[in-house]
Amino acid sequence: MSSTRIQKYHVLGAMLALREFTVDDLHRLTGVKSQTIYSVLARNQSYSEVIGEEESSARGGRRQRYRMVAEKVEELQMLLRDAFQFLAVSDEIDVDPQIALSALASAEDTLDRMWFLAENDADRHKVIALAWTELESARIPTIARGLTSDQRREIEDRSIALTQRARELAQQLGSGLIPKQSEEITPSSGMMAHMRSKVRSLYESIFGSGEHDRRKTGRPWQPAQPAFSYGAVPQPVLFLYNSVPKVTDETTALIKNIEKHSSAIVRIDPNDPRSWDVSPDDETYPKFCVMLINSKQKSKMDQHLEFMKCHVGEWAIIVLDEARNPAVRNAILGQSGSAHYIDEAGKLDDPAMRNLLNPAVAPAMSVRGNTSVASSPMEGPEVPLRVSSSPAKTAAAVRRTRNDPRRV
Amino acid sequence: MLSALEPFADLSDSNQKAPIEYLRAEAMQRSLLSPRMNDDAQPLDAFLRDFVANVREAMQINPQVDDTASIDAPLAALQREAERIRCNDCSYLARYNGAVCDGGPFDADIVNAGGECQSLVRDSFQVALAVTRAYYGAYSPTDLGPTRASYLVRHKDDLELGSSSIFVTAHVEPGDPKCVTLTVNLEKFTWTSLRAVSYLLMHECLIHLHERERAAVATRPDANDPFGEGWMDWIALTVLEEATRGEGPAARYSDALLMLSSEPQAARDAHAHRLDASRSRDDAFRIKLRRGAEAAEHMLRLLKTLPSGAESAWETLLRVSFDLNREDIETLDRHAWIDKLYLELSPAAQLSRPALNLRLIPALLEYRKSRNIRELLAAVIYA
Repeated sequence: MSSTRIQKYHVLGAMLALREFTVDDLHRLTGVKSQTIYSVLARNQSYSEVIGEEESSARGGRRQRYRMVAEKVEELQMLLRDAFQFLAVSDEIDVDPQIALSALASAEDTLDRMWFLAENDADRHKVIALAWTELESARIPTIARGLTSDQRREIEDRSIALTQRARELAQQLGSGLIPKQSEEITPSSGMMAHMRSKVRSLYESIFGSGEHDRRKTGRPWQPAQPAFSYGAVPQPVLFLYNSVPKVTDETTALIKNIEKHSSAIVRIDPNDPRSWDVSPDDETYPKFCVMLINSKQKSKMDQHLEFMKCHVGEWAIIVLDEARNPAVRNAILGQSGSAHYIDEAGKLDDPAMRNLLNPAVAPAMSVRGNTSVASSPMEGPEVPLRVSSSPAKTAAAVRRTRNDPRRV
Repeated sequence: MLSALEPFADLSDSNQKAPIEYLRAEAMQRSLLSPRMNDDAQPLDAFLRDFVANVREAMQINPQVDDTASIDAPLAALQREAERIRCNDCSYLARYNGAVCDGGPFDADIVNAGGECQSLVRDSFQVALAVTRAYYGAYSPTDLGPTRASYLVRHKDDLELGSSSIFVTAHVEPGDPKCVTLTVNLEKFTWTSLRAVSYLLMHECLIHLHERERAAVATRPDANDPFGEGWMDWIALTVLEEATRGEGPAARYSDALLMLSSEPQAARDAHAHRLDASRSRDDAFRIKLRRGAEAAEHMLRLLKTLPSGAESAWETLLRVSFDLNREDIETLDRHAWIDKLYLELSPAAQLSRPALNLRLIPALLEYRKSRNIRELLAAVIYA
């Protein structure tokens, strides 16, 4: 993402935060040059309106005061959430390892001393939430600068151990990872929109930013990596739902192929929230989740989103919409819909997805202990899909490579 | 009285090292905060007269002393101060039984009843209290009534604070009045410690005298609280620096602070020491305190980027800080306030800042109008 586009989104974000503003206000908040701000305002006229003029501190000057158009607020919120999620997965970020190590030390203190001192379950819920926030600030971008491999390994190893500890404590409490997340989600709560954008961004991190990386680095296309990672071993874990969706013959082939990329399979009962909070074992820490959603069973949607809310911070999730229901697809993936679908002729518009669906071109897997590590980029000839008969069986799979040159 | 000795502490780089070292050694061995409980203790006035005489003698006989001019002036000041002090006038018991501080059993009673030897500590406490009242009055006035407070000095010869050269600490005991207690290691009490006293007292008064004032039941301050000991400590340090510079609502106490050896660098050193995670024990909680202080700085930086309102960014931060400090907020929620803001506002989290700003900035703008600290707290920690 170019710096100009970043500036554009920062300006739009400032507009949304302030609601009423002048160009000077936006400049002070974002650091973007006034001339650029004028350009952004001009090119995005639908989001704001002039509500008056006032004296400027500049000699003899007057400046216009703007206001966000109320009807456009939600639209801009959605746009920005997508944009900043995408920004987070596609730009290299300087990292000070001491900040991450300090955050881990804080999390350790929280999970040990503060957990011990907590007097009741309500306090213990808060302790878990605190630890989770601290672990969040210990996260390091996958394409970070400024880290040695030893530092990265130390941070990741400690993060894994602490995350596991937090999960165990949360399970002791009989709740989800973060207590607040067990609250009911409704479409109007705002969380639903947040989830949509999360899924959308994760989708783009896998399928969308590959092109971006190629343009940027000149390297061959590789699946993009999620923005953040805890673990050093990037194997996917397949989550299969007991009731959603109905697994057909067509999807069986897909699932089998995904299984080949997976180090573990975890069966989840959507009707039992306790089964959602899973981690196979210490060594096969889950990186990706493949989630199948049958759009005909929309009533289950909230449960799936609840699950995603607990895990999207760590695991990529691809939504498979068996029914090709555009309304549901857009509800999940966002407005612009860059999702890849299989057309009536059984062709897929994305070669990478075609390859993923075809076991013949699956990447070589090396086995280390009970973990599997993909060792080569996913490339190869286009192969006809096995799924063909019924309309629109969408598929996706996920992988990461440990030897990705972008990783330090 | 102690301040009269201070010039001698600043001459260590001069060529008058021998008498300076002598002065220091004397000062260290003979505690000036209070006469010691030992056999050779003598009343302070007699001690000081002897002290000045000994210094003059040392200067005369020491061949290294070739320029006495730099010492003469402060020594003369010390002599004037020494002559002013009369233990017989100071001791409230002198008129009854002739007792003065001489290592005897009444020393503690005498000095805590207004001993001249503790005037610097007492004055520092009164100024810290006045500065605190000025700031809370300006930014967080309430109907709670004045906070009553007293102070006490305790001696603890085994007091050690890690690798610090500061051998004085302070805490607040709940009650009415609340009692600010300074604990001092007299054996190791040096100028460095003395210069930190104003900062320590400011910390106690500005933070802990008003901490959770709205709570139904008084609680003892939590030494591990990153809001009280990190965020608010940075606020206290900055308030002290501002007042010493003669700025802000307590500008009129600038001269008093300067006279009381309120040394900005000493205060900064003491603040840094409080947050120093390299100390041998309790690393993790020191890290949390430092995150608290950094979160306050990040918040100030964010506030400075907002459209100007009726008050400055610093004033808004003071208002937020004082309001939060007074509220009856659970310790874990104070932790959450720090963690959430640190996570979202630190430079390391720049990419996620816009996401937070979309909810934090409107909440801050609303707080500037409504002054509802509970709503602001909820916007941060429950988001």
